[in-house]
Amino acid sequence: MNPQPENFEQLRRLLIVKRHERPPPGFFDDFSRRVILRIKAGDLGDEAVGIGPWFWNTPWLQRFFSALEQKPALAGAFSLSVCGLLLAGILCSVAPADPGRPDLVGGSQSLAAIAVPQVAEPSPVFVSSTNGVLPGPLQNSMFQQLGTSQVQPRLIRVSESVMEQ
Amino acid sequence: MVMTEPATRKAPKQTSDEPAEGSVPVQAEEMELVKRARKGDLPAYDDLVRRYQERIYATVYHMTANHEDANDLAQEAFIKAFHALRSFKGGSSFYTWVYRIAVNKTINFLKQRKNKAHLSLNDLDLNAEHDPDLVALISEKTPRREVNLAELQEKLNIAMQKLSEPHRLVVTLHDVQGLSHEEIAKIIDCNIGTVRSRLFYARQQLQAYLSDYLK
Repeated sequence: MNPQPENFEQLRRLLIVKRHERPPPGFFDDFSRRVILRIKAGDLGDEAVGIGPWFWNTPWLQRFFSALEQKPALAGAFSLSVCGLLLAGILCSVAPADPGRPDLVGGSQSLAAIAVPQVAEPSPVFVSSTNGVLPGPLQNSMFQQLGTSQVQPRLIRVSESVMEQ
Repeated sequence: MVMTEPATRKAPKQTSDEPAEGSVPVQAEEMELVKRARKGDLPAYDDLVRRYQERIYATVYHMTANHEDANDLAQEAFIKAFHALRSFKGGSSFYTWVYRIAVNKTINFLKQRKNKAHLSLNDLDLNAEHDPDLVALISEKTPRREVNLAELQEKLNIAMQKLSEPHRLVVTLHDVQGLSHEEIAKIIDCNIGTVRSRLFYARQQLQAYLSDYLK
């Protein structure tokens, strides 16, 4: 349905004012020279800066983001799906392998078992730092080994004849 | 309900510096310049820049209402066009193609600049005071007849800045620059119905913003 014809004639006469706006005198005399100088200097404009130009020269991406801007429901659905994918990814990465499933790695080791190395923890011994006496006898101390060993010291006799030589 | 502008409305008169799209010799000459520029011939590109610099600058200026921004953006548009000449297939005229680059660059800039508009208006030329339409407009016996041209210019620019970028663009290209609906559709890559529809709504909004001056 077409609208009622409106009279924009006065508005168009008013807009003529803008046709009389002119840059400072001599502005265009130098304009092309400045452009050429910048090209010679290797200026790429804003081509090399960020992903902005790439974004704005990609029509499907522009359309997609403008659709997101205009339709909040679409934006919500998109963000939900992104969150869902992220969550699924996290869950897949931390969940233990299903025993019913064939093991991809081989053997009976699950992915989780491989990912987290098992370190044997020593049993904790709580010793007060102010108590000079240890709670139990020292086991396997070097001195005990010496005391209990049957090793006799070897005596080497050096004969006088050898000394004389 | 899609509201479009009445089809009976006449297109504005083309200004003398409009591109002669139907002119085969001019297009052939332009394509020759484009070929040379593509090979790195900077004097050829300088010639192309001189042909369209005023129109490109004016479009960007009317969109931004800021001379310095328009200067930067117009230069960058020509620089980008030079580097992208290899991708110019010649499906449209060089004029339409470079216009499209300038318009995309300007809209991108305006999106980043949002809510930071700073007017830096150019002076009106001497012809403004002798333009019969303008003389008639400000001398009519209206409640605002005492308005002077500079004030009118500022109000007009403020009203233009209140329009969304797509609406401001069609008003600029059609009512200020004098381009036809078809040319605008090519530049902004949409159909003519969209151009007419946007123009209609933009004019309605402008009419509301400038109601004091349109009684």
